[in-house]
Amino acid sequence: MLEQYVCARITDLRGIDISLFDYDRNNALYYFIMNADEHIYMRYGGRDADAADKYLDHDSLQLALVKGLELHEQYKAGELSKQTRPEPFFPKQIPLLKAREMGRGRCVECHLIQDYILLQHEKSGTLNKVSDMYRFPDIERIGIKLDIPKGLAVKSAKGPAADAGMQRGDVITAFNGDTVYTFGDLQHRYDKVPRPDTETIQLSVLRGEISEEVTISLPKEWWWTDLYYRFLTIDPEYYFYTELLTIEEKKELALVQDGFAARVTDVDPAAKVFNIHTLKKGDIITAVDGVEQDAFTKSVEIYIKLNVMAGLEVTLDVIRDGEHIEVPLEPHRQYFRKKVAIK
Amino acid sequence: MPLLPRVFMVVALLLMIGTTASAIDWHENYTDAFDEAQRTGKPMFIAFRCAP
Repeated sequence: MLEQYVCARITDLRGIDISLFDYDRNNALYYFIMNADEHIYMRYGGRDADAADKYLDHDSLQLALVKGLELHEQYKAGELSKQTRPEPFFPKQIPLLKAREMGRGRCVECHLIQDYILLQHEKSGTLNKVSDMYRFPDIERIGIKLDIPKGLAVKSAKGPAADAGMQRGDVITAFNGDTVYTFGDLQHRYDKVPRPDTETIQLSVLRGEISEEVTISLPKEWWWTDLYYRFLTIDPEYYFYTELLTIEEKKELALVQDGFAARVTDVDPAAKVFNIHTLKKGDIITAVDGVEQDAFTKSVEIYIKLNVMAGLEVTLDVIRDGEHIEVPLEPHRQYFRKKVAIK
Repeated sequence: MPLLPRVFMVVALLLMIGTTASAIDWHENYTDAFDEAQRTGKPMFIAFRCAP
């Protein structure tokens, strides 16, 4: 199949128009099927908080490659409508990325793009943590579980998707009127839905031979995803690492089941040097300033990134050797920020 | 994601493409692929991946 394509594998995004090749940068592998007019037939790839390879699958990739050839023939026959090419944007146009990575001759890996876009927003004071950090919403949050080897075939529909009439076996064909062929296409379009004010999305599905329209009412915080797997270097830095407690551990300690109670797995020596905190490996953090859970994350580290400003002190509720204690935390700016003086 | 699982996953997925992949002449940059696609009229299959 691949011999019918011109294939390229790219690890360094210097010189790549990242506006044209727009995708979730926190994927280890992502594909575009397109032509030499830079008309993108489809995207292929995608992940969620469950697994890095959740939507990567041999059978669905094969389906995509076959469809790509079909679309290529249609394009040559003039049967596909022209795409509007977005304004070109290159990695060198992100000043911090240019200065810190490209200027030092370093490889511009995919994940650096999104990270530096966030950093640039943060530096310029335009970072909206909710809308800028929560990218590429999870369709399972609106109840859609795909039969992944079969592309966009619905394995099960629950919650808002089921309420809207979606059924097992439906095949999603369009998102808000735009044709989609892969999960990558679907998630890319879902990511473009304005938040937080959008109330519904419309999916076209094929049910047997019949095309149906499904209008899904979006739940509160429909754009929420767990951020733990994203490479986030936005402020603040707190110099410890954690793992979430299991449900059983939370039960045993009488902690909130949906809370972000987590065990400290490592402490950076810098914490002591900069007087950031006195946490020890094995401590269990149960709350930050009395807050034990959050709608936006299950990770205490992400909670701190979203809610605590560098330089401001908060109190961590901690269980150490069975004793409940309070540990002050005064997170820092990222150490390398000193030169860029973020206000 | 830690480096080791990331590398493992990329290798596994490249193998997953199948034995035909070994016969494919993979370009390592976009410009070369673009030029060949223009010359041959073939569609392009572009993979973005973490550095192995």
